[in-house]
Amino acid sequence: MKERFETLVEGHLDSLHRFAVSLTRDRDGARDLLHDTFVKGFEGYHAFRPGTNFRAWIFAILVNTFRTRVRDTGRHRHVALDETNEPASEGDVVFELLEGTEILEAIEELPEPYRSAVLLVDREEMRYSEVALVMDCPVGTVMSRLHRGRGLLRQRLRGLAQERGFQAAGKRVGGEA
Amino acid sequence: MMCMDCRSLVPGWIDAELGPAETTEFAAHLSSCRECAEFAGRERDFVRGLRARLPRPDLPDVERRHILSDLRSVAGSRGDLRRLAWGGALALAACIALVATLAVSQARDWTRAYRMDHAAHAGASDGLEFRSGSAIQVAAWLTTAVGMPMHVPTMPDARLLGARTVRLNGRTVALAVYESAGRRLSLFLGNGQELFPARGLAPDQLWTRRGTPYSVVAWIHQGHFHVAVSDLPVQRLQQLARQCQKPAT
Repeated sequence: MKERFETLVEGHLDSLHRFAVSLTRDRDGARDLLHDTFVKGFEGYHAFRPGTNFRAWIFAILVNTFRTRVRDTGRHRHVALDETNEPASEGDVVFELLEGTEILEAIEELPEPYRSAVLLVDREEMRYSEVALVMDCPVGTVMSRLHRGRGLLRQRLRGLAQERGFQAAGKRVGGEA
Repeated sequence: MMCMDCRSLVPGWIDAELGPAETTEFAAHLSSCRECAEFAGRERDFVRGLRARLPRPDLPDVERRHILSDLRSVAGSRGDLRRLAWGGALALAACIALVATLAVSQARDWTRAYRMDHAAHAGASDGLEFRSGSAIQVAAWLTTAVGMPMHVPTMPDARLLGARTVRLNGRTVALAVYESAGRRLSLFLGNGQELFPARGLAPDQLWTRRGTPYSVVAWIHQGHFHVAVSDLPVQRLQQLARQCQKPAT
């Protein structure tokens, strides 16, 4: 059982680590979170049904462990964003002005549960049904959280791009198209 | 379908998560509503751009080794406990009072995590992340691994095998592994007092806990805590600890 559990976890280690870092925003914190997730996962592994979705199962443990830690420590840092959800007009042009790390930081600044929804679907490429298992909510809620999260993210990225000289009308300051 | 309903389905359309009926209804609305069609197009472009630019860093090798070591330590120690629990179920049922007493004493026993880690790596799979018999090389590796200067003691009667790191009580602890008289010795090194709660200990004074099969000898030397775990006889373990305290030549 030990070897089987290790093998299954190893298959998702990169993904688990990326998600843990995004939640904690701290590599040491991520390692602690993973450690606690392994402990809980191994202790509860007897209840895992072979043939069901291990990825969703272990991610759900990670998310629950993180929630418990946040509740216990009172740590819940996020930047309040404008709640209006006006569609942006610049399409994907903002991405030309931003580094990948800036995009990731903008996602990590999203409030929960929008941050997790965006990370799990757009980075970890999970299906909505998997995210629903991880976040313990209906599939419809996943879709609405994703819609909201992407909207907030777009606003944030547009703000960053404007700091770089990008104008909402689709042109950059200085006359470049 | 109202525009508001249509827009709420846009993520599902982008991610191909809509059912056949929803897809048909959604497509019908888009064909008759230019604003929603443009909105959906912008959303799709945004998500495509996002996914194309979003970094997906793989775990760095050093960190991967640390985390895998954590994983194996967890699975190893918990697995040992589970086997013990199953094998001794009847005996435990007959000795509930004794178990309760032991549980209380174990909760107070700070050495348990060290002994469990040693037990998990005492077999063929020692989990070493760096192999070298050179104390200087091992110290250099540990310094990088834990992010603070580390000194690895040498003992004339023990052979250094290598090192790894271990997570204990939320802290990364350096661990040098030795062999003496065919027995494995784990020497945990660090500077966090919370990892070594033997208060009132004078510098270089040995703190000993006899155990079966693993005993623990701990001491503070030059401000650093040392916790040695082995199934060597306690006197032998104490003798090796004294060798550690001698100045490096």
